[in-house]
Amino acid sequence: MPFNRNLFFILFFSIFLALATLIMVACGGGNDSSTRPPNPSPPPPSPTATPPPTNGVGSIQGMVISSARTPLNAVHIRAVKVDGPNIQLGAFSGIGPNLTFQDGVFRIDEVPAGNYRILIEKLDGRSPAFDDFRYSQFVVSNSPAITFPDEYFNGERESSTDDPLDFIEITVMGGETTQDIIFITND
Amino acid sequence: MNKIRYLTICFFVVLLIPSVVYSYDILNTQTPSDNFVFFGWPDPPIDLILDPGTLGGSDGRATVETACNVWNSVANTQQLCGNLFAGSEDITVDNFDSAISMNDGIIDVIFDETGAIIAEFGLSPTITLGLSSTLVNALTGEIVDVLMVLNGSLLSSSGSDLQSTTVHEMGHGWGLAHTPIGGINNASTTIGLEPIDPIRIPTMFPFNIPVNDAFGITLEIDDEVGISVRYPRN
Repeated sequence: MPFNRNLFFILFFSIFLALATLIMVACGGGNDSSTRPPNPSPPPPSPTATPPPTNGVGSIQGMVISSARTPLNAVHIRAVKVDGPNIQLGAFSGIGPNLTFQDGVFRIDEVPAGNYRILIEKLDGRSPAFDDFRYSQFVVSNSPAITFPDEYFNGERESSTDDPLDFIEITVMGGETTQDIIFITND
Repeated sequence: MNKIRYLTICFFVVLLIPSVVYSYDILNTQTPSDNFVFFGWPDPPIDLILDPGTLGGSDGRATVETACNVWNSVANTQQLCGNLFAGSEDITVDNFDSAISMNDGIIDVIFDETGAIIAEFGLSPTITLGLSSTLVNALTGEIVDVLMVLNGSLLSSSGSDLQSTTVHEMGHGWGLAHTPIGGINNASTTIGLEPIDPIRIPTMFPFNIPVNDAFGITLEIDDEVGISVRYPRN
């Protein structure tokens, strides 16, 4: 059957590459607490005082905004389970509940109950070829060209000048949505 | 190879510098009216038709069956893989154009034993383990058809695994995009927050896992969340 060239059809290719040589970047140890600068302000009460629930799955919802309070799309958000850091889930900003596009909003569903550190990572920078993929249709075209350091969510201490390595743990309860995870980038 | 030329709309080729961290994601596109739609099959399970040839000298059907079982085993998710049918002829670069139908709603799986078909797509068969292409209605996001090509000329080893590749490419066939979780891992020493162990790198990470690529055969939570969000079981 001849291939249909109708303009309303688009093809995408996903290519799984196996390259023989890994290019290693020098060790940086970004999560090494020994390199963390002193926190200038006393920490507020930790929200992890409640023992984490162990059953079910919940959701994490929040937003990423710039120092100018502009919602940012295309920022990647990762949730890392505190008692099992190999459990990592993520999403990227701009896609809210039920896979709807909402500027700056992110949502991670099906998150196993427990305590998490949440962090954001920029889209740009380290591997531009990666960024050129499909995101160019959505994320890049809707996002200002900004740069900011990767950083943890640190609750009430979030600001455009906070310590990127300062973090709090958030709790995800089964069947519930942990909201108000508002990142302010240090752009 | 007219069909291949028409199919070649968009490539993404990535350098193997583990770094930027995407998350589980679903392929999507912008419609002419500036809305966005996510890719997905409207009514799974989806049948597959398999190249009757071998894959890396072994039974390619068994490899695909295993991959189907992996994706069909995700909790709270619809059954995605349907029946596996055997094609009528071994598909090669010479008969590819006439042997493949890209508008029938059946996933075509090609065992490219020589890497020649991969090369026809403009990719290097020495570094490309497989590819998938998705034909989608860009107004609705509904997947119309999928073509998977598995490179049988790269035999399974600790550094690249055909079974892992098959599971990965099948993930694209359901509409999943690549995940970046894995770019910052304990073996790569890349600067970044929260490295993950290589054994826990999601299957939809776009590169092989050099320390043991068979780690990619099993899905990780990022893969499972992505597929269950796209195809929730009602």
